[in-house]
Amino acid sequence: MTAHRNFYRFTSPLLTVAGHDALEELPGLLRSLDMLHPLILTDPGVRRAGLMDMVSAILKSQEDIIGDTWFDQIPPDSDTDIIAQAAQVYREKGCTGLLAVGGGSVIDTTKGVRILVSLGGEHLRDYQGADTISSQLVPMAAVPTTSGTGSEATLVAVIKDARNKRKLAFTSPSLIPSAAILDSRMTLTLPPAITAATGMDALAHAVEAYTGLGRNPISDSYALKAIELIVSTLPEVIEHPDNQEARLQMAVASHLAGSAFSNSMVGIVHTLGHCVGARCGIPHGICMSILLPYGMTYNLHRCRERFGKLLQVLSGKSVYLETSEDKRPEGAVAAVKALASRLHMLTDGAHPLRLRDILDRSGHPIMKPQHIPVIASDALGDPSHLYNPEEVSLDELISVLRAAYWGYPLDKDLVKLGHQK
Amino acid sequence: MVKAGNWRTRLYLSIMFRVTGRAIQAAGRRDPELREIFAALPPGFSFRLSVWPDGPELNIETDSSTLPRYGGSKGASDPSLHMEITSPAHAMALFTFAESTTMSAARGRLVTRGDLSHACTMVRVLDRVETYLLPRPIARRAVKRYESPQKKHRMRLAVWLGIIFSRGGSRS
Ligand SMILES: [Fe+2]
Repeated sequence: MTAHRNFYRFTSPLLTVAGHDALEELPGLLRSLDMLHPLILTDPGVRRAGLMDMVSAILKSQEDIIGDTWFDQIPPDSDTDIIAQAAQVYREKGCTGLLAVGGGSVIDTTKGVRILVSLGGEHLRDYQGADTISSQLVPMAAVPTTSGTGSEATLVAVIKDARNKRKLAFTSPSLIPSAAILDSRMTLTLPPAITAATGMDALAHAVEAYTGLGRNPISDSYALKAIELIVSTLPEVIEHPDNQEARLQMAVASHLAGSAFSNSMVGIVHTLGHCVGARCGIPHGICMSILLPYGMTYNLHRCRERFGKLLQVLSGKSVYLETSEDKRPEGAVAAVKALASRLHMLTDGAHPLRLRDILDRSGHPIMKPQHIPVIASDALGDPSHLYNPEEVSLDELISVLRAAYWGYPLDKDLVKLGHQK
Repeated sequence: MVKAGNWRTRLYLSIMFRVTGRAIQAAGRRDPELREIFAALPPGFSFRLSVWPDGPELNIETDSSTLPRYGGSKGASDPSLHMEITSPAHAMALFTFAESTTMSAARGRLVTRGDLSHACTMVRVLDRVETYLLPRPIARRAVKRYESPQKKHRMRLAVWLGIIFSRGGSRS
């Protein structure tokens, strides 16, 4: 019999430029990537915030670069039709690479365009799956304008199929962008509530990467550094939104967390978050912030030592040493809750702590208790729970959602301890 | 063509693929939970599990009543979901139950073409079938969380009878 070879993979082939004026490096970067005629993709919000003017100004002075081919109509819930349109523009204008300037939706849309223009074909859904795209794709650079999704560093793209509204998922190392530019100016105008929510998304990436089944020593180090940066800077950027140094730290943290989960994948927090988001249209970061402590509690018994170690990064060495070893995992969960509460205070309540507190314009909860079983059943079909350390079942997912909805502690007895019992 | 692994590996894998394929058919038709899982898949769903480069493969198709049918190495030319184990060594790790299906996926040892939520469903199916197929201590290693199914002994007998007497995949 063949001996079982034990090894892991870590992929991060991307070039990262980070700094307060990192964007100035853009022309050089485009030259080195041989993309002198990029198709620049963005959304109306980014354009309104004046961020595109910055990009335009930098590219205008470069004689050898054609910097005025735009596709700036990417909606927040982008889909395969939008991608087909952008791919059409790319082909018509004879572009030689893609530049994404925006948040997660813009970057994922650009990844979709990248697949289509590189591999040909009409339908993106023909390429869905894991590790199916092995060929070299056209160069792509990404300039994130939020600090959260980390999409500029990941091998994942999730895109809505316009035909049946289902999510298509793509994961392949070739999907990692060629380069990422993290410029602190890009997130300076982000409102506090969005800063808080997206920052908690980055924290969820790092925590799930650190405790998930796909983890390895390299993804661990990225995740731990990301957590350290987030806890020390997220409250600061909300209190002082124009603190450029703190903005840069958050961009780097989100990038590190993205790279970590790109390798080790995410778990139950994202499984439930994806489905709450899809059913109720609640922003991803808010779902993450509310669900993270519950997801951690759910998994606690699977890797207590790891959760214990998180306490040191989340609360500092002295708290860690003062806490007895058997209390540290619960301490880590409490620290995440405390961070969320602090964000709630700093944003004057705009950052919610329970799912039922997310209100629509007329002041009613967007999510209703009757959504819970439907969302739990959706969640069983979300591939991310594969990598969660503990198995999930419909009843357990319902318990977690109920607790997160009403804001009461998760009853661990409801989580079947499986064969550990 | 490169031959995948030595003859013992090939023989072991081809037996295990046939046993697993027949077990999916047998358990998928009798176990209420598996029936529910298969019923939730789109009509005409087809699944292939194979080993790169030319190892054994198993094909499952759901028929009009949404029950799974094992087709041996004969399957749709373009299955709805194709999971390919990237080497015979990884297939051995999986089918000697040294590594769970989940860990295989987490460590990037499977190439999956198709809807990843269906891949997730098929991993659940494989896990469930393994709890019927394998003695408890081995099944515990093969799945993320071992849960003893209801009427396990009766189901186990039915699954094994299904494996021994089913004709599905006799051409593989
Ligand atoms: Fe996320």
